[in-house]
Order: sequence, then structure tokens, then C-alpha cells
Amino acid sequence: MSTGAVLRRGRWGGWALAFALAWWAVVASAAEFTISKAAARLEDGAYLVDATIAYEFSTAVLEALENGVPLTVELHLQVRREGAWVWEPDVVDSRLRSQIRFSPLLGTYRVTNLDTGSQRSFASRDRAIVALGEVRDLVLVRSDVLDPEETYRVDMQATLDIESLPLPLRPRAYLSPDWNLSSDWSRWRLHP
Amino acid sequence: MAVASVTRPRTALLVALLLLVPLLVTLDLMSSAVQNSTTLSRLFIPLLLFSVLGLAVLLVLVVANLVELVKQYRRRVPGARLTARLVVIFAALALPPVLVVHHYSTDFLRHGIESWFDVQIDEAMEQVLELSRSSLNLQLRDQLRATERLLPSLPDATDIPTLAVRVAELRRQSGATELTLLNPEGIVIVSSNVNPGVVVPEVPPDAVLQQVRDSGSYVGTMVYGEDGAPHVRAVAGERLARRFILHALFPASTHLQELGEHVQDAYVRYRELAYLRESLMFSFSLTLFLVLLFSFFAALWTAFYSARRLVAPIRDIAEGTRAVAEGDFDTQLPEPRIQDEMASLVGSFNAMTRRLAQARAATEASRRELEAQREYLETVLGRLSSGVMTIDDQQGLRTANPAARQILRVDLDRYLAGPFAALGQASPQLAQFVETLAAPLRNTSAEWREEITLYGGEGRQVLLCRISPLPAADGGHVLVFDDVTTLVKAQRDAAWGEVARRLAHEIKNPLTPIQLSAERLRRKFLKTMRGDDASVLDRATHTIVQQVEAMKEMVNAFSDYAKPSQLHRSPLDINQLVADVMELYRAAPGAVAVSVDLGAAGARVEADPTRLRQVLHNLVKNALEAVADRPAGEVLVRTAVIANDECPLAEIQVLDNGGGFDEANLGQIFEPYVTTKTRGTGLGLAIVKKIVEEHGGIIWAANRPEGGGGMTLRLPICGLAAAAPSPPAPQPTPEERARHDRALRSGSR
Repeated sequence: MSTGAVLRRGRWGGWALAFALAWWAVVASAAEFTISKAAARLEDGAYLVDATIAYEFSTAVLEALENGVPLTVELHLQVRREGAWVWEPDVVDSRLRSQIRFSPLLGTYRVTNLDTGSQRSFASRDRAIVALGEVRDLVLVRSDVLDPEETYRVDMQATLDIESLPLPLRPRAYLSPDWNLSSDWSRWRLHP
Repeated sequence: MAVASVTRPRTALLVALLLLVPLLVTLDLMSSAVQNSTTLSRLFIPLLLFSVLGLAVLLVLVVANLVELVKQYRRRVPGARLTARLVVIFAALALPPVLVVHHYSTDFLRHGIESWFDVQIDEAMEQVLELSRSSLNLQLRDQLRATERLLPSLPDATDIPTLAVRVAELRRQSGATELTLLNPEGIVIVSSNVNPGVVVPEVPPDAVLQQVRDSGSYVGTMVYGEDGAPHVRAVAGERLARRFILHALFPASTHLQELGEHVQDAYVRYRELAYLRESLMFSFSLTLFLVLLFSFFAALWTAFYSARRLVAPIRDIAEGTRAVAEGDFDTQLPEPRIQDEMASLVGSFNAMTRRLAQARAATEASRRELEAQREYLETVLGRLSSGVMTIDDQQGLRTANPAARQILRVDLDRYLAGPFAALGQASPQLAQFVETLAAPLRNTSAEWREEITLYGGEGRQVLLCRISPLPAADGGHVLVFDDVTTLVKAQRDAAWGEVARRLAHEIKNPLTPIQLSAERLRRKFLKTMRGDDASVLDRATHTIVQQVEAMKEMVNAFSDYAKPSQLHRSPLDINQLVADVMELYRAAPGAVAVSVDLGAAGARVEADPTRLRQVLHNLVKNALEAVADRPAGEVLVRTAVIANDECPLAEIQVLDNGGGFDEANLGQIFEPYVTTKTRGTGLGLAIVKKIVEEHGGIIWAANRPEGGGGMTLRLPICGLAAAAPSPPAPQPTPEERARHDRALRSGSR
């Protein structure tokens, strides 16, 4: 193999690496969701979570919503013992899914908790998105499950669920940063 | 090669099945997923990834095959051109249909999908939705107006029982499911439900209450009750008095509700499809593209696989042919499983190589047999005492056996494949040999037989030669000769012995009475005679006595020569012997200078000293006689040690600067009665040669180039105390004789 061939191969490899990094940077930088005021409180023997999530959907996503495409967001919650071994299971690992969709008959936006089935309708899209991001009295874990001597780490992340989108939209959604929407992991500690 | 040829296509087929079948299944599942199968749609992305990965692997395999093919093409590997042609044909056959299908499928899809969405359909869907919305609003407004109309019917009294009765009455009149009266803060005052069991009334949310406070009314739909039936929520407040808020739940028209829902679902589905048509087109096109790419790659793969299967026997035959050309006849090609023309060709090739191998084995066996016969003949010829030489029809020397070398005393290997006449250059003796045989070798077409005599320094050599023509196929002649010198000499010696015996018996016996009688006559009559008579008697008797003495000497010499010697051997120092003998010649007669060069210090031979002294005396006397009439005669006696593989030899040379030997008689000087002197018996050198040969030695005569002659004798040394050996010269071959001559020329050795 000639030196030129090695250089050409190295150049192609470099281009591929640069492209992968750029794509990852674009996708990773598209974290438009923000979790704020996330906290857990003990009430009636259980820890309840209150949080406010600001869903900043991209224009493409909002356009899809206006065109009748339901959007599903997933709230990923993890509770893990501080300093746990790798193979130690999480105390809590749950995914809560909510959906927002447009009802053209009444011109309203309906927010549905897919786990409980409860629905709420809103006349405006912004109100519906705000309501989508309000988490109140979400049962995280029963207090008797936790060891009072230990400290636990709670992680929370909100993500737009691409797999719930209509099939034709998914290939593009996976490749487009407009659709790869998620929040950073919000983390806080829990002292039982 | 056979195993590889069979294994590679099977492996390739296995890889193809393992790769292509799952890939085909995956693409089929993707196709089903695109058609919106709920279960498969969840697997669309993994299927897509698997398909892309599989196609990438397929692409890598195709590219690898292509690169390998290009390399083989450049190296001109057998079958590479055919493979390339097949691949190009497959690609040419597969690509246009693939492109055509892709083009028209995409076009068809685009037009098909576009045809779903039409402006009129868009407007119709909007209008239908608007119609549904209007119909629903109409119902809602009717229910709101009905609720608002109930407000004035409420009594002015504020006592609860009165209000409860009135509210219940109004609920019945209006047909509401539940009618609730609330104060402006939203606190329930009284409520009536069609189901008496319902104790807790439905309370409007704060947002609704706020809207009522702001605008005076609210109407909306909701589900209510355990069965979740659709209801219309109508809330109306008093605009002026602001005492009560009336909250009514009317059962919605189920039919209308369902129609509305259906219309909405259809509209949403339509809008969604319209929105997703580009994405749908993309997914269809992607799936189609992957399927077509799969088809194309599969076609290329199939081309490589088929070409390899097709070309493998051809390549095998090419490699087998090359192996056969290089002499490997054991090559057997794997026969194709399918019995077609190629299988027939391979079978013929294998049969050909088998026959070639058999022929080679037969040839090899024949060659080994010939070799064995040749070795047998060589062994037989090598053990023969007769010399055997073959001369081809071009008079070239082809073969010679060891006995020929020994008899002719020449290294015949140097003359093999050369002209037979070149052998004459080795020595004058061989020149005679070649000259004598030249004519018979040229002319003889039948058996030729003759005894020839060669003359050399060692004496004559008698060869009995026979020449026979070889078979016409080979041509030439075979020459067989035997050295019968010893036989002839033995016969001659026997004859001479008989002569000596007869001489001794018939002549010597009468000689003594003759001599005695002559002496008696002399004694008796010489004194009585006078004058001339006395003188005549004196001369006559003197002559008689003298001649009788001479005849006695001659008879004694014959006797000595003829009778077998009685040797009394003892270790003898050569230098000492020569020194002792030469001491007697220190005062040589005349002006002859006698000198001695003793170079064989410590060399001892097993010899009879008396006989050896006789030899030396004889040689020295001959030398002195040869230089007797020379003004500056010189005689040199020299000793040396000659190295030999088996036994070193002591050499004694007696050299003179006299007239030398007559070249014509050189080969006969050791024969009895051959002499150049006027006196003598002619047996001196014959006796010398006899004594030397009885001691196991050799002697020969040669002329010196600068003039004079020389005698050289060699005897085997039984012990050598200290002597520096000269280069080996075991036999006085012609070459050696030439060296000897050169030594004589230079005067030193």
C-alpha cells in the first residue's frame, strides 16, 4: 500500500470523524427542554415530585402538532443509591408519558396523561404546553423502600418520544436535530 | 487445490444465504412496516438499520470481490477475464431494469400519493369540519340558552328548601342530568341530579367559574357519570344580581357527538397524511431504494458467485495444464458435480494426465532398466582384462574401459568425445597404435584381427587387437585389445631358456675338450716346431682358446639370462649402494667425469645387493662406453624418492652426454641380442631389465634433448627414514616420460 493511499484513507477517516462529531454536536445541542423547580417532598409515607418543565418545541414539531400529529413526551425518572455498584439495580426507574394533540373540531389542545388516561383540554397551544410541563404530586417512591442511612440520587430527564411519531416521520426525526429534543438530566439528592 | 475448489463455492453460497436471506426478510418486513402494520412499525428503525448494515456488508463484499477481480485481471490469472465479462454482463442486465423500476415506481408513488390530496378534498374536509363544528356549537348554544332561561325562574327566596324544590323542578323541566346552583364564589347551594344516589354534585373548574364571572356564561363538552357518557356543561351567571351561578349538565346527543368525533378523526387523519406525505414518500422511496440496491448488489454477488463456479473448472484446467507442462503428471482436477461439457472436459484432462503419468512411469522404468544394463555392461567391461574402446563412424572416441587405460597407460577420459586420432599425440607409442588402427577403423566392415607391436622406452608392447563393426543404428566400431607382451615375453624367455639349455648341453660341453685339446696341441707341438709353423700353431691355438673362452662366456651369459634368479633379498640403502658402486669408478678412464647426486637419503629397498650391484655396474659401464670417445664425457648417477599413492619409489638415473640411443631401436634395446656395440653378448640390458622386474621395479631408456642418453629405474621402497617426496609418478607413463625428458634437459630433478 502506498503512502498516498494511506494519506487518502486517513483523510477520508478524518472527514468521517468530523462529520460524526458535527452531527452529534448538532443533535446534542438541540436540547430545548428545561427542567426547573424539580424537588421531592415526603407526604403520607411517600415521596412526591413537583417539577416544572419548559417544553420549547421547534417550529417543525409545532407544525406537525398543528397538522394533527400527536406529540408524546417521556419523563424518565431514576432513583439510585449514592455510591451504588454498577450491577446494583435502580430503586426506581420509571418512564411517564404524556401526549399533546390538536382537536380541530373545537380548536382545542388536549393534554393526556398516557399512564393514567386523564385528559385536559386547552383553548391555546401555549397553555396546553405549559400544562404539559407541570408535574404535581407525582409519586416517586414509598419512603419505607429507602434506607434512612443512605443517600439517594434522583435523576430526571424529559424527551420527545420519536418512536411514538407516525412511521413515515421517524426516519427524518432520527436524523433531524429539530426532532431530537430532550432536556439535560436534572439531578438532586434525597436524604430519607 | 481440489479441496479448496470445492470448499470455496460452498462457503460463498453459505455466506450468501446467511446474508441475503435475512436481508431479504428484513426488507420485506420493512415493506410491511411502511404499509403501517402497527406491530412492525415499531421495528421500522431497527429493520432500517439492519438493512443498511446488511447492504453495507454486501457492498463491502462486492467491492472486495471487485478489487480481487481487478488484481487477478492485471496479473492475468486464468479465468479473470471471463469472470470480469460475466460480472459486466450481469451488471448490465441487472442495472437497467433496476433503474427503470426505481424511476417508474418513484414516479408512480409520487403521483399516487399526490392524487390523494386534492384542493377540492381539502376544502371539503374543511367544510365538513366546519359543519360539524357549527352543529356542535349550535347544540351547545341551545343548551346554554336553555340554562340561561332557567335563571329568571329561580325564586327570590334564599332559603335552601325552596331553592332545592325549585331547582329540582327546573331540572325536570329542562331535561338536564344535573342542575346545581352555586354562589358567585363557586360554593354549591343546592343541586339536583337525575340520579338520587348522587350526593356530591359536579363542580365546574376554577377556570370555568372565572370565565363565567368575566363573561357571564360557559358552555363545553365533557364526559360524566360512571359510564363516561358525553355531556354538555352549560354554566350561566346572573349578570345584574350576581346572586347565583347555575351549572347544568345536559346529556349530549350521542349520535351528534359520535358524528363529530368521526369527522374530527377523519379530518385529523387527513391533515396528518397531508402533512406526512413528503415523509411518507421519503419512507417509500427509501424502502424501494434499499430493495433495488439489494437487487443490484445481489445480482453482482450472484455474478461473482456464478462466474467463480463457472470459471473454477477452467482455472483448474489452466493450472493443471501448467503443472503438466512443468512435468507434474500427477495432477488430477476435481470433477464438477454437474455432468456437463465442463465435466467431460475435466474428465478428459484427468484421463490424459493419468495416461501421461503411466507413460512417464513406463519410460522411467525403461530408463532404469537401461541404466541397470549400462551399469552391468560397465561393470563387466570394467572387470575385463581386455581393453575395450568404441569409435563412432566419425572416428570419434566414444567409450573406453579401465583396462584400455591401463594397457595404453594414458588417461583416456581426456580424449573421450574427441577424435580417435588425437590419442596419438599422447606419446609416440600411442601414435603407432593410432596409425596402425586408423585404416581398419575406416575401412573395416567385417571382423578385423591383428597383433601389433608398439615400441617405447620400456621396451616393446604387443597388443592383440580385434575390430568389429557396431550395429548400423549406432555405427562405428568396437576395438578390443589385449596386452600379450608378457605372454610373448614368457614364450620368448622359454625359447631362450631352451636355447641356453641346448647351448649349455650341446656347445658348452664340447668346448672344454676343444680348449684342452688346443692347449695340448700347443704344449706338445709348439716346442717342436720352428719358424712359420710354430707361429701358425701359436696363433691358431691361441685363437681357438680365446674363442672357446668367448663362447663359454656367451653360453654362461645365456645361462644366466635363461635360468630363474635366486634372489637373496635384504634391506638395502639405495644411497649407500650407489655410493659403494660409484666408488669403484672414481678413477674413471680417460677424461670422463663421473659425478653422483644422492637425493634419496634414507630410502631403503628390499633387494638382492649382488644383483642390484650388477645392474648398476652394467648401466654405468654402458654409460662410460657411450662417452668413451667423447672429449668431455660426463656420467651422472642420481638418486631420488618419487612419491606414490601406494608405495614410494626409489629412482636411480644413470645419465650421460654420449651419442644417445638410436630412436629406431629405442623400443628394442632391452631385447636379447640387441646392441650397438661391436663387442658384447647383447644380453646386458636384457639381464638388467630382468633383474629390475624381478625386484618389482621398472626401467626405461630415453634420449636427452641436449644430447646423450639416460636410463631410469624405479624400485619400491620398503622403508623411508627421511626423504622429501617428489610429486607422484607411480608409472612411467608417456607424460612422466616427458617430465623425465624435461628434467634431463635442465640437468636437475
